[in-house]
Amino acid sequence: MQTMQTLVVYDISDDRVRFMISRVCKRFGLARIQRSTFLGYLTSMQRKELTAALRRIIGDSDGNIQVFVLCRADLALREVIGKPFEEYAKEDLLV
Amino acid sequence: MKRLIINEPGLFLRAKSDMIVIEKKGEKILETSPLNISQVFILTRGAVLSSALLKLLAKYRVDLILYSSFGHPIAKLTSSKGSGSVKLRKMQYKIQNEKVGAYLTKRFAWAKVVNQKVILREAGKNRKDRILSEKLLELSRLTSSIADMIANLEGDDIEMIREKVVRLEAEAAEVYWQGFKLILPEDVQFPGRRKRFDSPTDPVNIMLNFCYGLLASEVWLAVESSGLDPYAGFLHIDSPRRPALVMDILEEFRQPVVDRTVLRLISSFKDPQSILEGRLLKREARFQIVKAFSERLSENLTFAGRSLPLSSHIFLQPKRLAEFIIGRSSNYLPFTLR
Repeated sequence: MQTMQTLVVYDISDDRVRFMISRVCKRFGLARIQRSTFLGYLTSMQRKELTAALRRIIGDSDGNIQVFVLCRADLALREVIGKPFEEYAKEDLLV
Repeated sequence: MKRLIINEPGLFLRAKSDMIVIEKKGEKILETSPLNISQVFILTRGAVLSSALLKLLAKYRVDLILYSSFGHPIAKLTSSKGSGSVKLRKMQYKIQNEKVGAYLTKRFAWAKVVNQKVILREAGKNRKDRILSEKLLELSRLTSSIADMIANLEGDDIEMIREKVVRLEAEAAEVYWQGFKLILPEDVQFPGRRKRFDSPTDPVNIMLNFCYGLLASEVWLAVESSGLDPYAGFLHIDSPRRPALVMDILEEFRQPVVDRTVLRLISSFKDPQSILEGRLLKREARFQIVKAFSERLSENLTFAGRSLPLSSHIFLQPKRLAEFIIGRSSNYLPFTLR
């Protein structure tokens, strides 16, 4: 199954809605790279499920969510300035 | 793909709104999505798992594997939704007793011996000590000739071929472990190769057995995802207890994955004996070994024209075998080092 880097950016004023959005992003295995920005690998099916879930959460409330699909070349052009936020862990999780 | 490895007693693993949560004494220490991991390894005793977690893992097809303290996979929890590949399996059983089966028997054993040769040859080339270097190169030539003998075995009777292959394989192993002993640092004790059932007491054998166990579950998962029956083998005889086909494919990866890792690790330990607690590995040592093992799996290697992490090659091998068995490819290329 092919996965693509998916970027989710949102701007929501309602605290409860914002929290629910971040929870859904985490549930789909995305990593938080900024306060209201998530990044991670998703298959197209997973992306459809994610957008459906996000649409349900935001409902009629204000604000918007944007979902971008990035190819590897585009992501490679990214520059990170300052301290990086929680990055997508590539290694095994040892506890 | 990433693994979640549980190596500490007293952890509580549970599911919460479709996330895996790990708690220690009531405090959350890790939370992750099941989409981020492909396997959960339980290396320790005294971990607590909730049934909701087991359901969650099965739902996302994350395999849960329980290991003995010697690193051998004891139990595996997988989703009940299998891949029903009836046609492939029927072919697999059918060719077990045919000429093609004899061909595969030879291929698996050949790959193993070639990999043994490569390890000896490389070690021989890198030694400054001329006598040692000559000795290792000599042993590598010897294994190389055994590999040729395996490849050139003729005959249609699969039983007879298997018998001959096993005999040659044992011969090669004897030479190889003799050389392996020479590659080890001088102060490391190595009484020769001892399998799990021989209850070894030296760190090298214990590490080898531990890593072969980890590798076995890796190969096992790959075999299962290919749709082949893990219990119907070619080089190894079918047994209800032992997954013969897994053992077959394992032969291709023993040296590249495990022996390399162990050789690398053992020379990094100041006092190898100190990693043991009786016949068992200490917890911290287990930690280091698993880490080195998965680092090795994520190293890129070129094989069959593709540069991929070693773990992907392991995943692809059973698929290649399936392609061959079903007749989509005309030969089977076992994994070998250069």
